[in-house]
Amino acid sequence: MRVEVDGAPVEVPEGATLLEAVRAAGARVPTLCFDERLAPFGACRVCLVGVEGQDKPVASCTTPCRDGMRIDTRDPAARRVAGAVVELVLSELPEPPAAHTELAAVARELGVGELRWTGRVHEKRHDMRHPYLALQNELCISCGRCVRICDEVQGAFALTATGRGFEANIAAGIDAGFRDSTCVSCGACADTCPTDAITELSLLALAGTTTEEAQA
Amino acid sequence: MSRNLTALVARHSSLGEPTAVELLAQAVRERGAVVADDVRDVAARTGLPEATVHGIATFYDDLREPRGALDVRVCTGTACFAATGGRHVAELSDGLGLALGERSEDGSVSLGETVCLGFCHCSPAVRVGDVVDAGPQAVARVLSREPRQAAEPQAQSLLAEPVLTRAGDWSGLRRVLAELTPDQLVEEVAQAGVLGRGGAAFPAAVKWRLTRQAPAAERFVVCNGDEGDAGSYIDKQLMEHSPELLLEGMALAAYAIGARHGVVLVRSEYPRSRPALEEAAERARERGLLGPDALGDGIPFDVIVVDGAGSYVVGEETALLACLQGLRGVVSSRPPYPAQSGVRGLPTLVHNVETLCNIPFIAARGAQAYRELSPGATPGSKLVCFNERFARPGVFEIPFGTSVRELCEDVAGGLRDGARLKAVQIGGPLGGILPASLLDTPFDLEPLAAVGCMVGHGSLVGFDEETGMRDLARHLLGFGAQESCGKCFPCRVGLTRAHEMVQGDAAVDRARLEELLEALELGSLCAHGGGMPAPIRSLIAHFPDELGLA
Amino acid sequence: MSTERFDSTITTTCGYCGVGCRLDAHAVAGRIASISPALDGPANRGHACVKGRFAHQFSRSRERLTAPLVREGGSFRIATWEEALDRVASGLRRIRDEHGPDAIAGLASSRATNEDCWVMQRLMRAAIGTNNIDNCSRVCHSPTSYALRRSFGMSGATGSFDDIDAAGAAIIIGANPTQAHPVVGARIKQAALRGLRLVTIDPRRIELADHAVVHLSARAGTNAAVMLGLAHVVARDGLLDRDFMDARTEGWDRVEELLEAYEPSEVERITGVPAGDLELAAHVYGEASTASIFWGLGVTEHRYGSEVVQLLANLALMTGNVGRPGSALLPLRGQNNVQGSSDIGALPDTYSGYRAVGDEATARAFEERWGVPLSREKGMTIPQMFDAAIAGDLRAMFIMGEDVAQTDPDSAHVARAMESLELLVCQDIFENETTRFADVILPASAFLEKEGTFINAERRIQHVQPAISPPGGARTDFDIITTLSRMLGHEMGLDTPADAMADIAALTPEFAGVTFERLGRRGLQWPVSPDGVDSPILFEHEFALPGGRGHFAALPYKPSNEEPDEELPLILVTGRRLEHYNAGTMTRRTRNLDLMPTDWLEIHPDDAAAAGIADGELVEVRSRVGRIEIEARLTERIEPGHVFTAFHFPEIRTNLLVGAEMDINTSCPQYKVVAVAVSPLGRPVAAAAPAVLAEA
Repeated sequence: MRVEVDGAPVEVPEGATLLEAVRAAGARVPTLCFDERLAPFGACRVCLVGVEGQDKPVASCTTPCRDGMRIDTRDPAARRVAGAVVELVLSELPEPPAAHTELAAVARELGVGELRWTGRVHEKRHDMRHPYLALQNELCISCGRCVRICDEVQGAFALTATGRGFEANIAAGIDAGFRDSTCVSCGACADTCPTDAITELSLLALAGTTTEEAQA
Repeated sequence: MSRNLTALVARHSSLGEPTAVELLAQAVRERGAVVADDVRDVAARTGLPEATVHGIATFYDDLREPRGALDVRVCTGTACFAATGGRHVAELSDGLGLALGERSEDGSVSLGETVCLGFCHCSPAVRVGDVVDAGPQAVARVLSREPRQAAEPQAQSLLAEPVLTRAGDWSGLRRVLAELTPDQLVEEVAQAGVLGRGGAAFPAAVKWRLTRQAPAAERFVVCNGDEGDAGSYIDKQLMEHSPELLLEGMALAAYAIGARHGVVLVRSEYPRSRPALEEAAERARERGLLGPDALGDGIPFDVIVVDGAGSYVVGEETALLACLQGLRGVVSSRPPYPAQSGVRGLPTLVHNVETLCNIPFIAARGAQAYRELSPGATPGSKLVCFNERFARPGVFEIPFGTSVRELCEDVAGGLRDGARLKAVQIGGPLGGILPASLLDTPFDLEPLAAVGCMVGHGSLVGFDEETGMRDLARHLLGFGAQESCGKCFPCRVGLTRAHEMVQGDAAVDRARLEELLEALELGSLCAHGGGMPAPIRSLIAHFPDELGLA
Repeated sequence: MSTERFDSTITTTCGYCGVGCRLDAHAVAGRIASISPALDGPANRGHACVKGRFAHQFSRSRERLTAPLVREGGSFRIATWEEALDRVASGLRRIRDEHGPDAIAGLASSRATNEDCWVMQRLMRAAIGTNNIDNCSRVCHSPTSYALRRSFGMSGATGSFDDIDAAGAAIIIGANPTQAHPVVGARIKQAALRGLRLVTIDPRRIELADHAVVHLSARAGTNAAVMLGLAHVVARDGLLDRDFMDARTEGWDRVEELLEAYEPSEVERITGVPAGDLELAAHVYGEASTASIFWGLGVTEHRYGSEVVQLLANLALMTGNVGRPGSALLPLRGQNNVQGSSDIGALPDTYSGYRAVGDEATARAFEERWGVPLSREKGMTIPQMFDAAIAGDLRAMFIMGEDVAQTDPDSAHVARAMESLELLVCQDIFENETTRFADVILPASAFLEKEGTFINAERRIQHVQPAISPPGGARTDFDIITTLSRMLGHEMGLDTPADAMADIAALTPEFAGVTFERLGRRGLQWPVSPDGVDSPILFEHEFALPGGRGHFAALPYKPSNEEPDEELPLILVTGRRLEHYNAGTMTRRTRNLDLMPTDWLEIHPDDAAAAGIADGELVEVRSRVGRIEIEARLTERIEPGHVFTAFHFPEIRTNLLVGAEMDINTSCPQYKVVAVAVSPLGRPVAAAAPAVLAEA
């Protein structure tokens, strides 16, 4: 199939998504819930693009290409909404994400500055009992990557999404932490997390937060 | 929806066994709450991982809050809001000495909210156990521990010959089995131009063709009985008063697409729907209309009923499919469409109750007769329902194209006690709000869309002059935020932020609100986040001052 | 993972099991800060396990050897490299001069790189003049190597891990991939969730059994009967691929005759596997359009281990399930370089590419390139070395990266052998059970500290690169051995591991096209032709045997001679657990110890009840050769009549129990069938040793 990305033609295989076409064309759209190891999820809506002939932007990660499609990564409405979504996500965290995180990088890329909407934030809640994995619930943005990688790659099913709406978050096992779950300590969740809601304890130390502080 | 979890469900339990959601609800009924041992037990019984079951238990209203021996659920739907402005909630809370979501220390009483009980014709409604009391004295009766079951409205048809407000007689199925091939039935439905009645108005025949064509050994017909739209009690009416009609519609759909199993997901807020359906199914089985030879010799079809557990978004078809497999009722992006991959990953036709109830008429009388029901408008007829503010609230079958004024003033008799209609919200919480000045708009898809409204589920919730529009915005956005499934970011955070913006009396920055509504509208994954801006935009357009915009 | 936080990030290959995960090692201030899986790793595809990802702190453990140690009286003292190497070189020279080169033996390591192993075998062959070189694949997959060469003509997996995704059905026998090969275990589990029809065969109900169509709990030691039973049903029920058999195999007649005896009911009698389950399993495998077989040490570490591998090959040949995508035979290799250490010829009987040391043309080619005369005599295998040491025929051993005193069977016998040596040189990263007997201990490098290549279980040669430097005065193995060779008068002329690979490529047809540059990020699967084209699937058109035909092996089931009896009524099976790795030298020096602080004995509740053992109780396990004490835990996931434990903890010394029984063809020890008695000790389990990390 042949599609156009920002005016440039690109060949994509049958079944390719718009995001794959965008990347094949060397263009860029930011993503937050996407991980190439996982089935597309379509939750973050940061990868929105414009498609000629469609009145609304579409999520590029979950939309399949059709032959002749013309994709616009710079569609103003799509970029506006993506920026607004990242602002919203930043507004739910009690503190800005660490500079090295994917979320911080996407915020930089979209030029997100002051937040237009603020309000309640997630409550601080930590589990640091695992020798390698740190869980910081307040940093969770419910992208589902940890839950999905534990399901779709490791198959340990140790993690779950919890709650719904603004309270949506994640838990290991029956909310008992990694140690008391079916976790096999593969670390895939920490690897994919875009915010350090799950990260390596040793990297927290590297970021300046000592384990003791984190545990306190 | 996780493909692996779906595979585990399919591997470990056969259709008709209780789902994880139902087992957890059972635990709540028996012990008042889900504890870790229940999670382990349900995991062991369903083959689902423990963490997954924990996630399910934290998703649904029915599973999240502790229940007392006496469990009081107060309806906070839009009709009840229109009736009292929310006073009934405060009265119950004060009377019981419990906040919403609380259980008394001794475990004897609990109070929670529920949206909505489908007694919008006599709001406010309160549920105690399986008794739903409703009306101005309901709160007092509940507080004195003497609730009594409220009366159900009688549906009426404005049509010469009712299509939907009738008991099913299975004549459509009989004729089809004798005269039509499955393909011919699909064509008949296509000719009839049936549009989905759940809100999206998607052509039914397109779904039928896709499902029929999807290669698979097995296919399913799923009936969406999760009529969560506050103010609507149409599907409730159909499930409880015309269950045979629904079953016949499902059997016809099954015949057309080649399904052997039908599943109805019934919301738990309607305690009488499941028994009504199951009794009707049993009667049909006795007559051989369901069962091993339902669709011809050796061609079986049967229907099972699965309970929901309190979640508005489960009315969305992918979330519905997740719920009826016992999983978290979270929306999935499409593709894959249910027609390709639904129940157990197999092709599945999903329709709401009313849509399926249209099919028997077409089967018995043909497409042409169906199209003639609403000349010059959307084919078929429509059920609408009115809230308690109207003089003659109830469910009515109407032709499409009737003006909203006729509906409100002639059919429903205008507001009771001579009150003036300030505005009417049509089609549920995602529907736009029509100010009194636009009542001449015809009740049909396109004319309503042109004024920022929709047919939706067909409910008309009228507000009188007592209703403050800022309060209404707060009510709607509060509902929206609470019911967000939490998957897509705009809806998950945005609805909470929008709700926060209309809290208190401070001026609302109009530009910021509209920017937020745009993000919700264009960014959301499903119609929940995408639809919540519609009524708010109506309020911005028609009641900017009351909203406190600056 | 974003890398901006780190000083450096290097992509290398995991040094734990044989899956060969590609890892990004991130370093800060000369230490590993974190390891994350490389997204483009062909075997791991962006995934890793608790070992590869987290168990790296051992690299900076305070217990690392950072200076050479030489024995002085009853203890060790620190020495300079010059002194230590002098002592080694002069000792070896003296023994060679006095007792001949065959009085010296070397052990390469399946954990070391190909280049390390290459210079080690060259040291023994060219500098010393003996073929007494072996490596620890002897004690794990040597039966696989032997059998695959007999059946197909090459010693390696016939396909790739990607065949997991293309297979319609698979048999997993004698392996517990989700514990021992976690990343492949996860891939198999995902495939099973997607519809791969699995048959699992093991005396333990392994995790993957929960995802299988059928699990066969065969009594330990009866694998051959199970395979013959499966073959019987496949043949009886018309599931043979006659076209394939006619065109590409030979020897079927004798097998067909043999199979008659293995009716399912008879196999049930031998193995305990219900006949119906056996028939179902045969149909799952035989009816699939593509079917693969995965096996581990539960197949090989038996008296007839190599024969069972040949029976696995029979089944594949009967159904045409070899040489096609989705139809692979894939041995799950225990260590990172089990495949490579043998491929490059760290074996007493073969040069690289499994060419016999007695083969004149091969020997000449090596002599010509290396410029020294080479022995045509087979050297000693590891067990033979121990016997020879005790007999006084072997006087010096140079052991690189192995702890034979802990991991080899009959630990008491091994200790006697070590004590008997005049000169024992250990080259390692930690002191261990074996170094206690050493005369010189040379501090070497871990996989994170050196360059080279590993070959994973799918024959994939992958680049290993240093992420950090060796600690203190430790040196790379490559450096130590090439220096020693020089001191012994054989200048190898190899300055870097890349030079060693050039040496290998020049002398080994299967490696002809291999260079570090060509390996790139995804590696190459041997054989690699001179132009660099590799081979994900072997035997697509013909087998590597004379005539190009695969060989059926007519091998009957023979009972193990380690049958349980009244005195020793249970069978001990040993294996690996997720959190730890082999002797535990690495993982016990990481916080993995916190996840699993000690080992335990798995016992079925029925057997526990019969012996009066309660869950969590301390028990004695007694075999014909030894006894240990260990905590018992009751589980229904093991067949009655069996007990299981791992061998990661030196304080438990599981291998004291394992006798001298070994595979009849390859001397691979029979770790998997040991008759034991288990009895309660009536003493409480001592509190687990505190999980203290000795980090520098």
